[in-house]
Amino acid sequence: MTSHAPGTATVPATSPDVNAPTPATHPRHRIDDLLTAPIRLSIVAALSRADEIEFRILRDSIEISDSALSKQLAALEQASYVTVRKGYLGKRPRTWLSVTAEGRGALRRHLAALTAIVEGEDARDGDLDAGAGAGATAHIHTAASTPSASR
Amino acid sequence: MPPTEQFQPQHLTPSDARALIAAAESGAAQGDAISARAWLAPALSIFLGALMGAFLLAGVYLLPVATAPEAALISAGYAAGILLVVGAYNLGRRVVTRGWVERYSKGVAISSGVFFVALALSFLVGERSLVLWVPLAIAVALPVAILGTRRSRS
Repeated sequence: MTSHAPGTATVPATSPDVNAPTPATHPRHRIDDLLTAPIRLSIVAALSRADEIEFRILRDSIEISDSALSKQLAALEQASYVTVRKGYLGKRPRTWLSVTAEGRGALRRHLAALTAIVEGEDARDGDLDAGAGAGATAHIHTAASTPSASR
Repeated sequence: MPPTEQFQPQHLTPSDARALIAAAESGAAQGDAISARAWLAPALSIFLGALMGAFLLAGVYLLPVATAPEAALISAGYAAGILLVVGAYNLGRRVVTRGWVERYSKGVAISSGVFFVALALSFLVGERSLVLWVPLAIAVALPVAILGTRRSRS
């Protein structure tokens, strides 16, 4: 008799557990909620191209207000995607922004997921063109809203 | 300016994904444009390289024949030059381009290494020909000047 650690179970490889949840494979599962706001995505993408950018330069570049940028940065900072460093130049306050390694990783994964979604649609369009059948271009959001429909 | 509305991840359509990719590309292009306009760091690197090369020449041609006050003045001028460029950089920088600190540090390390080897050589050999020392001064200046002005390939 084999003993198992509490809370673990052995499942024979020949009899897969049909009740086990289906692993999430659709690219939408890899979408980063925080980066679904285009403005936040733009901020992280811009910061990813430099080590550090001053607040005012970024604000002017992406053409948003101080308060809007501050609000988005607060959310990104809370998720540890962005580092905000404050300092003084003489009496003038300066704020420096940089994207963290975590933020770079999130951006990379998010873009890969977005690309997969777009490419998935392109592939389905190709199937349709080849006569694969009507309805093959079912909306992603339909599938997304019913994740257990396939089971 | 990118749109401000947030897409719902569970209802993301391919057209939403395209819009988000476009926003990311636009942001990245802005970041590249900001980096491309950063001129202070490359200028600092070139100036610092020139300063180190000039100090090597001063160490070879001027310091051995200078009086103590003159030597102190030359050394003080060198130190003041370094403080000036580093201070100007810290006051004026708006952007640190990607990987610049790493490249610049490497450049400073290599230039300093060549500088000290060349300085040691000046004590070992009596040769004071410009044909030898000007290329050595250039060899001191080049690493920091080149590495500090290079852009990252991204």
